[in-house]
Amino acid sequence: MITGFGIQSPLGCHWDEVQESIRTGQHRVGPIENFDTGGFPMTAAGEVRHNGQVVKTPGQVDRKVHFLDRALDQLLQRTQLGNRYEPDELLLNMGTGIDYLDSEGYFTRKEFTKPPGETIESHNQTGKAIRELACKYGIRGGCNTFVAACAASSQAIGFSYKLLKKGLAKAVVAGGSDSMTSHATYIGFYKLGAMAFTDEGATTCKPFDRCRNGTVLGEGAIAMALERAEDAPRDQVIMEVAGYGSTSDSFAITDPDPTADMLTRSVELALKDAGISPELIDCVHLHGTGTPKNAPVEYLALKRVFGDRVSELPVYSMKGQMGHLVGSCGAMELLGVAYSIRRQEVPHTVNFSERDPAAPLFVVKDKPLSIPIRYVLKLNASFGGHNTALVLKKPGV
Amino acid sequence: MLKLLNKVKVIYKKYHAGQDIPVFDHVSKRKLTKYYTRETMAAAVALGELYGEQRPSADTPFFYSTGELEFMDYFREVCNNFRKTSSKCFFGRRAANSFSGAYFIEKVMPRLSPLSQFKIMRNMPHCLIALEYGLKGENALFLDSLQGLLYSAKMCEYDGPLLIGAGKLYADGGAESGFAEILPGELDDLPLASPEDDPLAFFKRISQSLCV
Repeated sequence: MITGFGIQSPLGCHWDEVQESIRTGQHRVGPIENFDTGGFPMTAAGEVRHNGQVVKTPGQVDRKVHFLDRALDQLLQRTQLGNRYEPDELLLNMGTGIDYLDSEGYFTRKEFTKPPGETIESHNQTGKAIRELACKYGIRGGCNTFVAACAASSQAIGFSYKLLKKGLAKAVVAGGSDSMTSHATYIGFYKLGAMAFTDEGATTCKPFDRCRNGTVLGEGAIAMALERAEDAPRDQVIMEVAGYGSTSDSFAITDPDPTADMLTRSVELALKDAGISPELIDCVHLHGTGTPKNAPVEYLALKRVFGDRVSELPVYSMKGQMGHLVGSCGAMELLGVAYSIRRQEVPHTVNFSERDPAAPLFVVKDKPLSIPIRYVLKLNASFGGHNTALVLKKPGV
Repeated sequence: MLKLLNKVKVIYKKYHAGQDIPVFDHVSKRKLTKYYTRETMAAAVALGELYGEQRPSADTPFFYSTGELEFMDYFREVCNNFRKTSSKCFFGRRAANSFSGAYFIEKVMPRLSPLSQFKIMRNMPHCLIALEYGLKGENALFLDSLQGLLYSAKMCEYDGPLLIGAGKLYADGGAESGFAEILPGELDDLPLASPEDDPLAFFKRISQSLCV
C-alpha cells in the first residue's frame, strides 16, 4: 500500500499543488533559471517549483540530494513512519542518476589541477549522500540506490513492493531523486541526442504528437511510503501496487527495440503478478518521452497486449508538462497514477495536439477524461534497455 | 579464480591501474567495446571465464551493482579542457576568473568525446553485458549494494540459474569485477547482507572460500 508522498517537483512541492497542476495542465517547463545557460543550444527544463516559482540553490548544492532531503522530511512528518516502525524495520530504496559536478566551483577553485583520486570538493557522490540521508532520518534497515537511468525509480518501487509482498520488509521509503540541470550533466544529456532539437520553451516536449522531436529535462525528488496491507493506516492508503514486471531489451545502447518484444513481456509479467487480465486495465500512463522512437514502440506493446482495444484505451504522459526527470521519472509519474485513481480521471497530455499515424494511441487532450478507474498500468523504459511495468490498484477493489 | 562447488559458480577479478584487461578475448560484439569503461572490460573478462563456451539462456535474470565512480572520464575531460583553456583570454577577459555558460559551451563542450556521455551512465556496464550475452530477463541495477543484489536474487521467481554481479572503477584506473551464477534456492542458507556490506568483498570472499 502506498500511504504517503514527499514531493519536490516542477508541478509543485505538495500533493494538493501537484494535483491542481495536473488538472489544469499548466506548463512547468521554461528557460532554466537556476544556472547560467548563455550560449547553450537548448535552455528549457522543468525545474522544481514551489507555488509556481523556481526553487533556486547555490551552485555548490547537489539539487537531487537537496530535494530528496526535503522530500524525506515532508514524507516522514506526514506519515509518522518513524513513530510506527523501529529504525531497523525501515528501508530506503531510491532511484537516481549520475553524480553532480559543480562546474563553476571546479573551475574557480582550480580543482582540475588535482591528481586522480584526490578528494574533489565540487564532485558530490550521490550514493554516499543518499546513505547519509537514510542515517539522518533514522532509516536503518537498509539503503539501496537504483541507477538504471530512466527506469531507476520504477525499479526501486517494484523492488520495494516485492520486499513487502515476500515478507522481507515491513515498511519501505521508495522513490527517486534526480537533477541534471547543471552545466556538465545538461550538456551531457544533450549530446546523447534524446533532447528536442528545437527550443520551443514550454511546448518543447510533445509526447505522442506527430511533430514530436525529442524530450526536455526535468528534475525532482519523490519519496513515498510503502507499507504492508495489515500495517497501513486505512485512512492514509492512496493506492496499492498490485503487480510488477521488469525486462531488458538487449537491443541497443540508446534505442528501444522496435519490435517491443521485451516491453510487451514486462507488461505481461506485471499483469500476471497482479493476477488480472488486460481487460481490467482502465488506462495506461506511458513513459511518453516525446522522442520519435518512443511512441511507436509503446503503441506496439499496447497493441500486442490489448489488441484492438488499444484505440479506445486512454493513455497519458506527464513529460510534456514538466520534462523528463530521468532517475526519478517513474516515481514522479506515479503521482499521475495516484491522481487518476483518486479523481477517477485520465489527465490530458500537455503539448499533444495531432495523432501520429505511426503511434495511433488514444491520447487524452485539452482536458482530463472522467472514467471509472480501478487498475492503472504504468510503463517506463530507459537508455540501456531496461523496461518496467507496474500495475496500480484503487484501494478496496 | 573460478571454482565450482554446490552448483554455485563464482568468479572475482581485479586489475591494477595500467594492467591490460584482455577484453577482446571474451567479447563477440567488438564494435561496442568503444563504449566500455575498464569496469565493463573487467566484467566482460570475468563473465567470459565464468561461462566459457556456454551461453546463458536469454531470459536469465541479471542483477548488477556498480561502484561509486571515482574515475569519471567525462568529468576528467571537462577538467582537462578547463586546464587547457584557463590561461587563455576569453571574450577579452582572463578566463580563469570568468566562468560562464557561454565559456562552457564555447571552450569545453566541443572538446568532449562523444563517447564520454555513454561512459558515465551508471547502467552501461549492465547494458553492455546484457547486449553481449543477449540477456533479456528480470533485472535491477544498484549502486554499491550487496543487500540489493541478494534480496533481488532471493525474491526472483525464475526457474533456473540467475546471474548476480558487481564491479568498480577506481580513480587510478584500477578495476574489480565479481559474478556468481546461482539458483535462488541456494541463497536460503546464506545470511542476507547488512546494508554496509560491500558487494565486491562478497564475491572475493566466496570465490576464495570455494577455492579451499
